[in-house]
Amino acid sequence: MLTKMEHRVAVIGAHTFVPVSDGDSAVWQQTQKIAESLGQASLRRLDPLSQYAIYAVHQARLAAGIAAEEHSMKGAQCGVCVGTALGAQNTRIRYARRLALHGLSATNPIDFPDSIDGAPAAHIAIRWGLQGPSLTFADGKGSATNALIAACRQLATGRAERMYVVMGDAFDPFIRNAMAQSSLAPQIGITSTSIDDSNAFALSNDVVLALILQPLDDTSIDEPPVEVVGFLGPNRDKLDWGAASLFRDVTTQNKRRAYGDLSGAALIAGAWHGVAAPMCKNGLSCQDNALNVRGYRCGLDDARFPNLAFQRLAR
Amino acid sequence: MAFQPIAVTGIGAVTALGGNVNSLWSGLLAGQRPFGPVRAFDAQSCRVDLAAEVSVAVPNEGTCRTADLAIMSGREALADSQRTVAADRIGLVVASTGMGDAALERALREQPRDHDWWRQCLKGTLADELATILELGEIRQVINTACSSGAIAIALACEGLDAGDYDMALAIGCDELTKITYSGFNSLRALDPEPCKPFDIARRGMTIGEGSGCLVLERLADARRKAKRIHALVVGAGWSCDASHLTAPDPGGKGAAIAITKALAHANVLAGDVGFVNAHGTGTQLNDSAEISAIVKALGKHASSCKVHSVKASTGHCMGAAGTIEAIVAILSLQQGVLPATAGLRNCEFEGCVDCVKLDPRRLDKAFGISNSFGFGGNDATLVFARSDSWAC
Repeated sequence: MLTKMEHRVAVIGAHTFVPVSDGDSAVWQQTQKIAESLGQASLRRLDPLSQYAIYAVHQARLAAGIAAEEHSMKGAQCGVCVGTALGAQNTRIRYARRLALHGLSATNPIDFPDSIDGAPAAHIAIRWGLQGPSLTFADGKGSATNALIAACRQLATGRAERMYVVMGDAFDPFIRNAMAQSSLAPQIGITSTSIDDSNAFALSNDVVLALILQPLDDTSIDEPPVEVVGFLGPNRDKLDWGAASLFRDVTTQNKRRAYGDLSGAALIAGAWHGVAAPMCKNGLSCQDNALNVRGYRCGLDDARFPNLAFQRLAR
Repeated sequence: MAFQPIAVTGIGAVTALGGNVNSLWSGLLAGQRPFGPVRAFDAQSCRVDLAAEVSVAVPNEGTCRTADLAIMSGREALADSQRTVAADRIGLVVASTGMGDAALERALREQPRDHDWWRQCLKGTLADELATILELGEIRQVINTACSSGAIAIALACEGLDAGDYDMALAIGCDELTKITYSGFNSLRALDPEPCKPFDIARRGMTIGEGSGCLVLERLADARRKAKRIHALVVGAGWSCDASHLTAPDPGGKGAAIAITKALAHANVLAGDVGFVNAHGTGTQLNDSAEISAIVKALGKHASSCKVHSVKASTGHCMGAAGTIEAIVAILSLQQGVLPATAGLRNCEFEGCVDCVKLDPRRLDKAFGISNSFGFGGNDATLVFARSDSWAC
């Protein structure tokens, strides 16, 4: 299913955040860095997904040239869409573990609301005063694409004039271990460049991608760097058949070059299928297929590695 | 920009009042309150041991009770609507807040050898399961905006129909009673030790319920062309965020007022034409007063004559299912011309601000009604419904 894009939407800011770590201390340092950069130590108590989301949005706002104090756009016209397969799962598991193993008195009451899937969206809305649409898609495979589709629709229908889109997941070790040992894990190792088993997936690091979208015809945009041009899917028959969202570099549109791609095979921005692109029924990768449907015949060098593409964009 | 009117051609519900729409409606009219000590798990360590659980037999067709409840309401709604669209043109939007919690609790307790249990923690698998069992198409969404999820699911399904993503849509809200959710609200001291009393001076909190509601939706023109029975119309939707606090509503109801105002503008319906508000009405001190403030802000001088009731006094707060169950009640209210009273409401704190319906059901004479749903994270959603004969194609 190719979702129609009847209105043009520009990506005015983007940031991908991948906390690189090799152990708890590295994660801690990363988290500290986020808190310090935002001048808000209290962020430390939030679920990692909420922390990463806030940081990614903060950076995307900087990339978009939105000043920290800017409130030129009324809050009710600004919204946030989050796509996440697992939600604020680290906190959910911490709460559930204490409840299951030590009883109710061992739980921290604030962990419960902080563990809902919508917590990252709520914290973003609170931090930047976004009173417009606040939607969270907790949709496994299609989370990222559904969030992006919904955000574009909020703009197209006039429900919002600016949308923050956050797509990501932060693994809890308990879930990660279960995934790694499950029957759906790839049998050929996650460093391979292809996965023959069409039901297999490969895990990668936590990742959060933030985009800031506005209607392309908004006169306040001088040179929109990237346009959202279409979506394919989500396609649901198998775990690895995903969805693709296409972006085009407006400044090179004559070349019809795809600039970035978010494949929503599950977690976002390549986090789930960090090694190989998911395949569609016709044997093409999901991105190839999406490009073909849109009439793009170009190479996919940029499109295959959205993190790199968006990091370059952010610079 | 309004979406075209959407016809509700099928409804299904499973609640503590019974396993179908008829038992829901008759239970509400009779003012039933089927609350009792929690049976799903041991809640004796909690401050409150009271819930509205589904007591009818629920066929075990899915991988968890949440799925079973959804399948049951989905089957009823599809039978009610009659399937006139090919499966691949039927979309599905699912709302759930706690799906996966039961599997997580089990895994933490039992450390299962089968490592595939984690799939049950992905809400996306719920949509896949429902679509397979109910024989629906590939276009599926799972939304979780906390307790406003059900209403948002309906709104997104309407938008999908309007955009031509599919020709028929199921909006299903579903949640079973889980220990995580129950304990969470208990810890936040949000539960009333007695059956909840929305809008009453003596209210002390909510009573948690479980259940599922399903609406089958089609574009009005399509439904009329097929001469289908139309329960009511969805003519507008508005949503917003308080952007003020993770758990507490904005005391002045600012975000909720924005949602109501946006919904009415979206539907092109005037405040004076709104016959009733199916309130979120949880029974907590803060929520009820913030909601009444929002209604007064949004409806202005018309608020005092607008009838307001809460279904949760009879069904409990069904979390992700609440928005769909309450939408079904709003639809039945328009269809039957009757608004059930808020059970347990004796001394309304908001007399004069709005017309709270207590003691007995009241007749309705207006063609429009709204249903509010709010949730953690400051999520606010309002749907506008119209009587089926009130709208020309």
